[in-house]
Amino acid sequence: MKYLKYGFAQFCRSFSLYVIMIAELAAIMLALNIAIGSYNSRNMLYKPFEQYLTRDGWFIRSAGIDKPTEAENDKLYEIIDTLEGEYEIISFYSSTVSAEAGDLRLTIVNDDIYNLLCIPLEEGDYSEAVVTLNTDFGLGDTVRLGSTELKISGVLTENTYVPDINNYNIDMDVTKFYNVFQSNVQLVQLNEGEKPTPIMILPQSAVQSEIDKNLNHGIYQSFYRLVVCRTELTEQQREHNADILAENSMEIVYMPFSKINKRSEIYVNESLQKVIPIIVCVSVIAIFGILCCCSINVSRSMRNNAVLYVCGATQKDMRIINAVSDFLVVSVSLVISIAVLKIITLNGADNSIGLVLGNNNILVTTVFVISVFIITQIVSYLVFKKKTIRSMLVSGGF
Amino acid sequence: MIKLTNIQKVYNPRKANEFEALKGVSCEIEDGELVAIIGKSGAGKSTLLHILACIDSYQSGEYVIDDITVKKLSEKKYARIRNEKVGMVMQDFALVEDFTALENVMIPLSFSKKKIKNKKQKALDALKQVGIEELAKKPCNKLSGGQKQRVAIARAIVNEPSMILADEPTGALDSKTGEEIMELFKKLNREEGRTVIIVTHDPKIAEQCDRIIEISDGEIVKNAG
Repeated sequence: MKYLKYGFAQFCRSFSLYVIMIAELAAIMLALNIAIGSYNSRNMLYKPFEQYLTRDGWFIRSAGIDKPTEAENDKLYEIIDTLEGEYEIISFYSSTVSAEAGDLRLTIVNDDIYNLLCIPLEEGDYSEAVVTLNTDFGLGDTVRLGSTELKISGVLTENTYVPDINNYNIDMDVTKFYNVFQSNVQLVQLNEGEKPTPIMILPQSAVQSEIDKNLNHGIYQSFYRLVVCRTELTEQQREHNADILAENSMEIVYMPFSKINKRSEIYVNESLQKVIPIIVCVSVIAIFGILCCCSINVSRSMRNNAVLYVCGATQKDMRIINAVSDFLVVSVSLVISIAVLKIITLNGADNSIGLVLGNNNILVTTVFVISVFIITQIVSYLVFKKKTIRSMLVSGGF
Repeated sequence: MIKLTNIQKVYNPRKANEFEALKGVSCEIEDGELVAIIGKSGAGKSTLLHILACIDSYQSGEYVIDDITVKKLSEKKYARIRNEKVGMVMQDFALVEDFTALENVMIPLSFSKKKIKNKKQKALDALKQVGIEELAKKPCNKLSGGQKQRVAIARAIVNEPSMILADEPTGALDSKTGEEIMELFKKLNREEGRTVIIVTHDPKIAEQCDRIIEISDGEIVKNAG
């Protein structure tokens, strides 16, 4: 209790000096968290597809602008059959169900992808199916697809992402596997200008029997497929496969996973690569400022600490009191940065500016806070080290 | 009882600016004595007082206080001596200026290992003893020099130490206030039987003490009652 009392007194006494430190620390922590949040947001899109994009495979469809015919699809499978290696073909399915609350568009995604989805939820979880926000469908509501009842277990935030593998771009990265959905504005990319139909995202296994029964009769397969190689290919096999696909380029449109993955990795790391140099520069300046503030403060507090020593405190007590004071500085900075982040998340601004705050934010912030605290303690130790109590007593206090 | 045997103190040993402040000082001070340590500036009197207060170390010799040999103690035990056996009063008061008088007096109680029931009341009693109970809640930076020194004395006596050490306690005060402070020390010595050791270069202060120890160039040159 005495440490808290004297540490707090020291904190209050030096508050004007500490304000600079607090502002610097809070600014760095905020910048750090925004950079990590941005990275998380991008990584969140990449994670579910990483398992495929890091293997041999292609994002592929039959050539032709319209919905592929059965013959075209057969031709596609025929080409895939001639490829070296064992392949798994992944497609998404879509459907629309009508319920009392209105129509609901279903996006049925492969289970492996669904299980790795971590797009932020307003409420609930991913255990069964999730829907977009601001609709007449809510947590616990059920809809029927054929004889299968689907229960909503989670609600996505506003300005969310919906997995979709119908978008193709020559500079394709993982973002093309999603549509941005804003329920109170418009469905970006699809149905532009129309009031969007709410969307439910669900795992394929939940409705597999319905897909088997109703494919092309109410349930539709995505135009594009993810063709994922399940075996390790030799360089020769890769070349062979590339040749086959090139030979059939009139029949199919395709993009190798390696290209998508490379661009996706650039996309994921881009925000960090841009922000990290700025953060490092700011941190260096701030740490220099912290060192100065800290050493000035320790020097200014010396006489009062020496007074405590004369009255029966040990040198350890003095160090603890200084540590409490420094801890309060770091804590106040942390509280300020958390408060700012909280305000951002409360208004939903985090989703709008593409921030996803996760456990790594906590981890990095904790490491930063501990590092700063250790730096302040080293400074205190070094300043104290060469001083005798006698010299501290004659040093200028308050 | 305090017993010093051949105490030697060297500042900056083995450096160009090495300075031997005490050259084998020996003396004994009985419980309940009122002793003045006098000498010119740089003679070593404050160094001796700081060694007695356990806030400075020494290279050789032996310092025994109430049968405890000080040099062989751990930092915690040193702190305990400072807290329980010694009350220190400095020329510049050595107060935490933004603390109130009461908060300053409570400092030794905060660091005491003894179980003290009502610390606040004890601190108020100490302030009452030095005649400034009404100033308890006043920050020290709002007090006069004499009032500050009374706060320092209250802080020195609050833990009921056997020895009060004062380093030029009247040095920063006008003569009238200085006399009042000296009366306070005499009262503490005579009425409560505390050992009071005052470092001073004011002969008028020294004359009021039972014994005068004169130090010159780090050696005791006079030790007489």
